[in-house]
Amino acid sequence: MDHDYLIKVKDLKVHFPIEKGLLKGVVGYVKAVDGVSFTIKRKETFGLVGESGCGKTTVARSMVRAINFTSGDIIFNKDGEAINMGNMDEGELSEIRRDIQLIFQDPYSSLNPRMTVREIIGEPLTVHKIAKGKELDEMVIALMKDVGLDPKYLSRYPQALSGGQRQRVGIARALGLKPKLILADEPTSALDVSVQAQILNLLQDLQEEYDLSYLFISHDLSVVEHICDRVALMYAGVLVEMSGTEELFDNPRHPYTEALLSSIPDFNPRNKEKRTVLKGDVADRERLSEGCAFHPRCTYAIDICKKNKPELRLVDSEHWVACHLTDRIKLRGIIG
Amino acid sequence: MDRVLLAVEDLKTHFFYDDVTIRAVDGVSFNLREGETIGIVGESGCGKTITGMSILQLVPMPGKVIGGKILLRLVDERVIDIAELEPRGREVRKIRGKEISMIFQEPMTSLNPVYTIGNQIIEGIRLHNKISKVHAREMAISLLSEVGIPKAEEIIDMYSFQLSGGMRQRAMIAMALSCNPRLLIADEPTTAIDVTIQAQILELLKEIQEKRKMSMILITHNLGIVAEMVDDIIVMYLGRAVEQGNVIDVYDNPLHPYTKALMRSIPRLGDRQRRRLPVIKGSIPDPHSNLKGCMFQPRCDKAIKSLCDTEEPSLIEAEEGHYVRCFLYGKKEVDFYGP
Repeated sequence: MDHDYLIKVKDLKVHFPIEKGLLKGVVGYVKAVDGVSFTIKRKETFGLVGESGCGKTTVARSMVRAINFTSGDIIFNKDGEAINMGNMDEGELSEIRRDIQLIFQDPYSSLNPRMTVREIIGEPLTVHKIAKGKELDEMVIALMKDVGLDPKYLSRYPQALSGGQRQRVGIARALGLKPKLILADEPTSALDVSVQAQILNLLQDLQEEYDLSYLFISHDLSVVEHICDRVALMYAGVLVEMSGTEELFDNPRHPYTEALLSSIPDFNPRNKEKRTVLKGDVADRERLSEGCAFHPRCTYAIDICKKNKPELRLVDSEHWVACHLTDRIKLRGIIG
Repeated sequence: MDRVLLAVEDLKTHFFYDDVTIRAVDGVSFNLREGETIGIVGESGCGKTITGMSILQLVPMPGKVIGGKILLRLVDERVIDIAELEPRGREVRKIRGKEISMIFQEPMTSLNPVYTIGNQIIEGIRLHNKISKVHAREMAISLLSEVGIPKAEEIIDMYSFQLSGGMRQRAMIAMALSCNPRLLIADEPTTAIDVTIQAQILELLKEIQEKRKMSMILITHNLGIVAEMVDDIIVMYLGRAVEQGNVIDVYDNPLHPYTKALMRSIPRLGDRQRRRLPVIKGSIPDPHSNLKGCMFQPRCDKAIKSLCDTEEPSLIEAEEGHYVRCFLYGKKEVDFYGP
């Protein structure tokens, strides 16, 4: 079991200082990520779900050390050898970043408008001195074909492309170095629905072809259910529930999961009944209360929830939950 | 049966650029009854927002409502045609905010950051009603409480950037409701906010509508939200209404190849087949491109050669109350009746 993991995140913490005043004195910390652990296996799609500001993007950025995390370990399995990314220098990092690539949400702002498609897709190959000249062109064209882009766009600039085409450029760029893991941060949120389906299919095809693992960050649960093997739900910097996708959707064990599932508009126009609507607002990260971060919005909360922070614990095979009451309450999944 | 409040007939809003004319809205017709909700759905560039803006004569330059009728029944039973009003004129300003209000997608950009929430609501109230500042302020506070803002008497003096996304959108709704409009146009009211807050805002809109017997035009790209909120639906593609009718009819039995494909291409909750999603080939064409025939024909797998690519189909009534713009269902034209 232990050798089929690709990357392990252990007790990851990212705390940003809050600075105030003329001398920029540190008056506190925003605990953007506060003890997150999970494992992504080979060829697996692992979903990370949560509302804006819950820390999901910060987790992804830590996983390529785009930001330095405060504590914890990120262990990458490089052909059987466990490498801890926490204490790497820049040279080693640049090496490991060939294996871990990012795809971003907004294909409009994540591509340099002054670079042609050829330059954008070819840049990582040049930087890592993999190819140049004619060979580079051939590799870029092969990548474009892999992601379903017509090579006639080679000399175009991103602004001449549609949203879906731009996202394909971003994907081709990420694929060039033959990564093992792709961190996809809301890859379809900015796209039109008819284009979203194309990109989701593409991601699934590429997974087969390139033996990829994905960290799939999204707030859209129906997309997550469609594409992910396992899912973790994040709330205010911590994981509140993690399990196989079907189990999570059918048998949620955390009140937040139940509320999220219930807040998705139903596709059936006959069903206009009232849903369980979660009260309150998305957690304010500068003013987190004691106890469970979710308790101010939780319909089931009792005294203990206000005092003690629940630990993420195993409640069923591969099903993890951080809730004091999980054995005492019956929650509703998407069926029934 | 409730009476028709707004009848839009063959609305045409075009944008005139130096070298090209873009037909952003081209022949949209519908009737909206009192207390009912109609949903306008479509992807980017389909003209759904411009349709909403046309109803208030708010189309940005160089766009202009150039054809059709927008008939609104006023409280005193008079019927006026908004399409004939001058966009910068006095008459249409009397309608905006009073008879018809609009809320926008991004509350951060549509609220003014240099005025307090209260200032902006009170401005609207006093524009249309001759009442004192103190009285208007009381009204604003009660509106803010009505839309579920806690401690309204404090929030009223805050600026938009001090509020969360959900609270901002509630403040926008309060502002839109300030003069008791009979029609609310909501343009992607929940697109920029989180799902749990989205659910709150949708419930709020339903409650308010029920209580005030208000009609609503809901503009969105989210077919789930439409299913939940609306009575009738219009599916738009590149400025044309390609299919419209009762939401249950359209969802049970989508007719237009675009509607069918769109519905198939969305992953649905509880669908465990994990199959590849059926896709619509290609992408939405550039509105500048000079398409002939049916707008959807380059992406349509049912397109009939030398018909769909030469002649544009008109909207026909394929089943009772269920309209479609597609040659697969014949060529007969339809008539919409005004109020």
